[in-house]
Amino acid sequence: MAITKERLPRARVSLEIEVDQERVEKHMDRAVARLSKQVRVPGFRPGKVPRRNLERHVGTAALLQEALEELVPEVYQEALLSEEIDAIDQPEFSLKSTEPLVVTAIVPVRPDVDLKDYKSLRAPKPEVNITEEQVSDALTSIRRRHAVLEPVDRVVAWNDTVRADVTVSVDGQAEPHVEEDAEFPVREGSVVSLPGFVEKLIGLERGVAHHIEFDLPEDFGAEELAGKTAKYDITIHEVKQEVLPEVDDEFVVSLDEEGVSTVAEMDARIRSDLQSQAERMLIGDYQDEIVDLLVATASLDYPEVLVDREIDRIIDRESNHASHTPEGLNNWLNAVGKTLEGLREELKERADLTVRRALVIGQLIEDEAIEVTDEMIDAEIDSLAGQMGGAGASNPDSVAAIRGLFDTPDGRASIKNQLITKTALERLVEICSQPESEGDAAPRASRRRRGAAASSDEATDDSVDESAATTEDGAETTTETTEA
Amino acid sequence: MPKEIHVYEVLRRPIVTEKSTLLAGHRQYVFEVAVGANKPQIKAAVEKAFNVTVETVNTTMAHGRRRKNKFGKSAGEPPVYKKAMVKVAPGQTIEFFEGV
Repeated sequence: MAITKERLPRARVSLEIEVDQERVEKHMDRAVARLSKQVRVPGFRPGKVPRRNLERHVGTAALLQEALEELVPEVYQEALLSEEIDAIDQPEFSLKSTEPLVVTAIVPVRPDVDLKDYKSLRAPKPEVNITEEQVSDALTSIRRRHAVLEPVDRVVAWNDTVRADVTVSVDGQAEPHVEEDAEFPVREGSVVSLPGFVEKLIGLERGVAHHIEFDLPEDFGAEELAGKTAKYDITIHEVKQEVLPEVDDEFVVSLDEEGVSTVAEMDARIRSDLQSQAERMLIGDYQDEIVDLLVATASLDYPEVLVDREIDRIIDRESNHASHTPEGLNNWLNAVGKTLEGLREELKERADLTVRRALVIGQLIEDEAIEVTDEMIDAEIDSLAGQMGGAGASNPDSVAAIRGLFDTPDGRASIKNQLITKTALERLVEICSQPESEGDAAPRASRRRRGAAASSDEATDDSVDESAATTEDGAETTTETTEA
Repeated sequence: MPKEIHVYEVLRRPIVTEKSTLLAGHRQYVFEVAVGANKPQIKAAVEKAFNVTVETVNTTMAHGRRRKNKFGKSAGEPPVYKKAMVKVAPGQTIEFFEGV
């Protein structure tokens, strides 16, 4: 069996397989045995037709066809093994010649992804700046949660809490809505009852019956009320002033936050909380950005079939798996008013991008040798179970039950995938968020970094017992000094 | 006195069946022949047509069985014909090219 291998663009390989005559004959005989059972030749019982007669009856070409049906997949598989080809889809066969028998198979193989010099990719990480205002806002809302309401004898002002009997009627509504002894805060920007009501309360006196009228906005959410006039009869029983606790160490301690006992610490904590919250919101966008950057620099050679499969997946997802059956798919296509071809064409670009992203991340995982240990999976499962448990988290039984849901071979595999992808993205962020390089400073630093990760004692020989994280920090500092 | 039959009209067709294929392995070939043909005529015809030496000729008349349809009536008669089993000399074979 002689095989000629040739690499084609779009991650395909063409295999030209020449099959020995002897082998062809063997398969021809087997084809005769099969065919003679199916074909009725006059004068012979099924399965008893000699090859010569059968050949004359159905024709040599048909016989060869039958033989190829078994022979081709067989030699193809052998060729894949001997040429070490990682096929990812069915091949396309064509018959090049019959004497000697030469079969050509074009098969899509695993994509070829080259991330190029991804270690020198740089993208500015979005800066998160927490302003004094944000901190003080956050502090105020904490103080508000611990505010004390103190009855006062004065007219209503902002930030008071009011206890009152309220009767509301809107034009065209037969029954007025009555609420007695309703207690509500009067706060700027908040809506109580109907929009515009709170504003009218400012300056009202206690203990007197008031009548308020105002027009509701034209674009009010409830259509039957929009633009109508709202009439309020209100008697305020009590005005309570909001007394915010003083921000001092005592207050901070009363909050019972771990590790926070002074005002300064409190400030720092709020700031760091706000910071990480904002970073979490931005990191997703940033990750998308750098993955796309990676896609743009990498050279990708992947077969069309990957995109087709992704399109299938998108259709499957969007149609709620209706596409599993032909009727379901048709119904769904009718419902969205699209043809299958049109839809596939539409989705192509999106699917292509998804495939590219998945490919570069996959390659990144390989290049960076990212691995996830069983312990990491266990930890992830524990944290998931803890989250899901919620109130029942204190009950070890329910946590164990939820843990059982995730702790299946499939569940573990999927968690492992997620963790690996997450780690890869984090690594990419780490690479890309390094300071912009002048000349070749950054690549050198990254090489050093790699060395540091591999053997900590070599990178920082003065502190052998330092953890990997600290070592990396050390590398980071070196980067900065190199640039300075 | 047999009727004169031209040598080219003796052999009608080769009979290709499982049984005849089996016989071919024993140097015997089966033909449908003219009903009026006798053994010497068949021998001469085969020798001339296939350029072989014929050792023996056996003949038989084939009468198809009359089949009855579902009303008990005959649905016609199968044709009556004469078969000849011809044995050729050792080492000689006959190739049939007809019957495709």
